[in-house]
Amino acid sequence: MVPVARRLLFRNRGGLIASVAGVAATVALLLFLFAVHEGVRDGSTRYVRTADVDLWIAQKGSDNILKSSSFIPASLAARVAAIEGVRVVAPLVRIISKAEIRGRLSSTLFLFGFDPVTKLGAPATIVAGSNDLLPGELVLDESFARKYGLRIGDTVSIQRRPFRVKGLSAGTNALVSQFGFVRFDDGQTILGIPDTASFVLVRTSMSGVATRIRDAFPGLAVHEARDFIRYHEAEMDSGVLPVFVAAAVFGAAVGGFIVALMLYSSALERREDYATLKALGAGHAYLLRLVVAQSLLVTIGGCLAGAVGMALLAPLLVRIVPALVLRFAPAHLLVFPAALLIGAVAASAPLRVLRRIYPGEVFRA
Amino acid sequence: MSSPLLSAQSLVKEYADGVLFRAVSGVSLTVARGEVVLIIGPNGSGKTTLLSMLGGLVRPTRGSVSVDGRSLEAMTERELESFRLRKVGFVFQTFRLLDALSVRENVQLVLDLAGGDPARGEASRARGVPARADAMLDRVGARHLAGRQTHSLSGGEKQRVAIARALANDPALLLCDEPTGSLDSAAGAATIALLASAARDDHRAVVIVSHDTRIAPHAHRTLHLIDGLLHPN
Repeated sequence: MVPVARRLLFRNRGGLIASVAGVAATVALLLFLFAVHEGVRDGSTRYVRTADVDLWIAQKGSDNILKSSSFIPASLAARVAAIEGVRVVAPLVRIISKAEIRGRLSSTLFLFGFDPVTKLGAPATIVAGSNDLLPGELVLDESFARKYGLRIGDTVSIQRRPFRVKGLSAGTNALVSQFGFVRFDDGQTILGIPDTASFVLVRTSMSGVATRIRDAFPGLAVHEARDFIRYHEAEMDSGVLPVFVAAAVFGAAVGGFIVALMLYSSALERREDYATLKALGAGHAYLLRLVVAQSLLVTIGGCLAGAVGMALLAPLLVRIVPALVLRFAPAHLLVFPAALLIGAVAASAPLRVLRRIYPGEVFRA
Repeated sequence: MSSPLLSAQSLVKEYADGVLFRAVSGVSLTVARGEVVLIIGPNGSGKTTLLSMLGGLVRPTRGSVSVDGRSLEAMTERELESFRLRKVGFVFQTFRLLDALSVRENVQLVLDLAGGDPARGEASRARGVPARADAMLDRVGARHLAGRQTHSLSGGEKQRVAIARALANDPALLLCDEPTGSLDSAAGAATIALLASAARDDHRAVVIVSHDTRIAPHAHRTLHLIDGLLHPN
């Protein structure tokens, strides 16, 4: 079979390159958005997922560490420890603050003060240094440290108190802000309110502990770990997912319009060829197949170029924007069938033009 | 010559674009296999409209066309497409080759559209396409051009390729619109010879509309179309 669709496409190289580039940019944008979303989703929840905590006790109405305030007595931990089935218990304080680095204020840091003995609430993944903190030491998220050029041993100031960087953590980057970790006593000092924690964290040795704590402290919220993780995912999705979805839909629409425009203008430019094909006996279905084949060729080319482009660009982007966490997942491959579907739909753009081409046009000199 | 292959009866074509315009006013015509009929007429006389109706590109307002015993007005659009593909070969003044395709591919295209080489059995039709295309190009003396792009050809070469394309599906009827209109005299003479050969050697019916009176000696009949009416020479 003569590859008519391919030949027609390659006859207009400028249009072909522009269209493939447009689809590639769209595919790269979609992959980027999904990777950022996955990165934010992971960064926002990994700390909670890897905390090795069975129960999170918080003020009533507070169900996540990022977007809700919780103030409970730190001494509550001692009372919770007396409940049957509680193996380890410790308070955790959270402070939202900027750090002063070499005389300049940083972006906002979510600072957690954890118990240095039990290490409940300490970051699980340390990529440099250690999380064995002495007073006046802290662990910083690695991307935060990279953003501000901080290394182990450097000093930052939080609420005018100096802290030496003892370790760097991973999985503690929620994109808009990163996490830092200090000892609980340092956290309380920064907070400035005695006997105050944000959460009490519990490891249990048997089931039913949550119910017993709820019965003992009806004024508090007791979240089991799996629920607490789910709340974070839901909170993150409700906050950023609509933005990502809207951006993805607009991106996909732009890609679809690019393909549709290319096919539409190609149908107009090659009107004489289509009229000739009709006159010779090619049916409307054949012309439709030609247009769909051209659309799919452009879309496949754009998908490949977009995927390769994103693979090359991703490490560069992360280097330029340290706070950016890109995580690619197998589900992101759905971009490709979606792009093909959009390409097939875009092929409907020139149908009206094709239908209206009168085969008798071939007799015009 | 044998029984009529093409028969047109009282063909009328009217266009109503604000005012009623009658392009063809009751034309009757028969063309036998092996016969070359030349229709001469001034611009606007209805030649192209008549050719379009004979080739199933335009439906007549009134009257009938039948080719090889089949009436065109009873055909659906799909049947008309199939009819044009298999029963009619078109030759145009401006060649209408697809410049995105090579010479061979232009000929192969119509064979692909028709499902393969018409001279072969169902099982091997598709396989025979390249050989058939080359044979057709050989027939018109354009085999050596097979791999070339059409935009690099001269007018005479393009018309040879167009004739090879028109003959590829072994049509019973050749409809030619000013086939020498864009050619110099040598290329025009070669084109006329090819069309005459297609009628004589393959027993095809050939209808040529043209201003070019050089074709007349090669035609069995020359008719004049004036104001939509056909007059014998």
